[in-house]
Amino acid sequence: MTEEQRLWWAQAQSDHAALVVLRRAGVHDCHLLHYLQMVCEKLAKAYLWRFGTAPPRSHVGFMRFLRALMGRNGADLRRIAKVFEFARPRDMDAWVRQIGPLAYELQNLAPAEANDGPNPEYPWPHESPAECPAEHPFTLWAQLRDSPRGRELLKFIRRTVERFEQYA
Amino acid sequence: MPATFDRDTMAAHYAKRHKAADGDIAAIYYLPTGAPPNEIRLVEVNRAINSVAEPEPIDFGVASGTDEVHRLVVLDLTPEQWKEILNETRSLPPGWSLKGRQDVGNGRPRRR
Repeated sequence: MTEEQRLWWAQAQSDHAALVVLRRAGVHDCHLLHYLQMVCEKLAKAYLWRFGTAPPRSHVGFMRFLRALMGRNGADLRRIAKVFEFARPRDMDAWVRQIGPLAYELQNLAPAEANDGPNPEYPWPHESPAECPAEHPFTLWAQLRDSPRGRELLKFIRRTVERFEQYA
Repeated sequence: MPATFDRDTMAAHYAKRHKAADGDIAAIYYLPTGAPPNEIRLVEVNRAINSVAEPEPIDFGVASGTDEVHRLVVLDLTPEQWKEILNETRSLPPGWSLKGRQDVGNGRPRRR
């Protein structure tokens, strides 16, 4: 792991610890999604630094991270599948495809990606606010909490943070 | 959601919502025995889990700052893992018990 990776990983770990505290506290969904989006973004940047250059400043990196991870080949991918508790790479690949829509929605939550619409940080639309995050029912969090697939994604994200050293 | 917190009713409410969220859920059990009064423990048996990870519960705080504040804890299992729990070759999380479990898979409690 390079120093750049370590720095982004350390921040992702800290954000994830805050997310767990907030999840257990039962705060508004917007805060949970905000932290979850930040964990994914920083974890992705930590991983993408493995290629030796700074990843794009963009908030959207989680899908790129998943694609880069699944792009590893041979024995490397078999080892990574085991790190994430899958018997075979093809099982992990199938699972990543299943959670793709949720992961995509998650990475696009950042205000800069939200097209002046629902986001977990600021009231919208910017020029004439009509809603704020704390009062908005985010269906994405409901999906993450209420569906087995969503809960599996939350556990997967925890593993990506906790086991970073094993696949970075 | 019920107007004031009633654990059994809320457990059935969650079960109904979770069942609707995923067609691969084969069964949902509510395990009240030994749980704190404001904690809802659900076991959800799912045919689509393809990870070989050891099952672990995940917990969510709900309705903080209201008189409905409670904790929802969900343990997702494969059908095989559920069978192992029933025949006691696999353990539930510490403090959890099958005693008095209720099948809430249809959104209504049914004692087993």
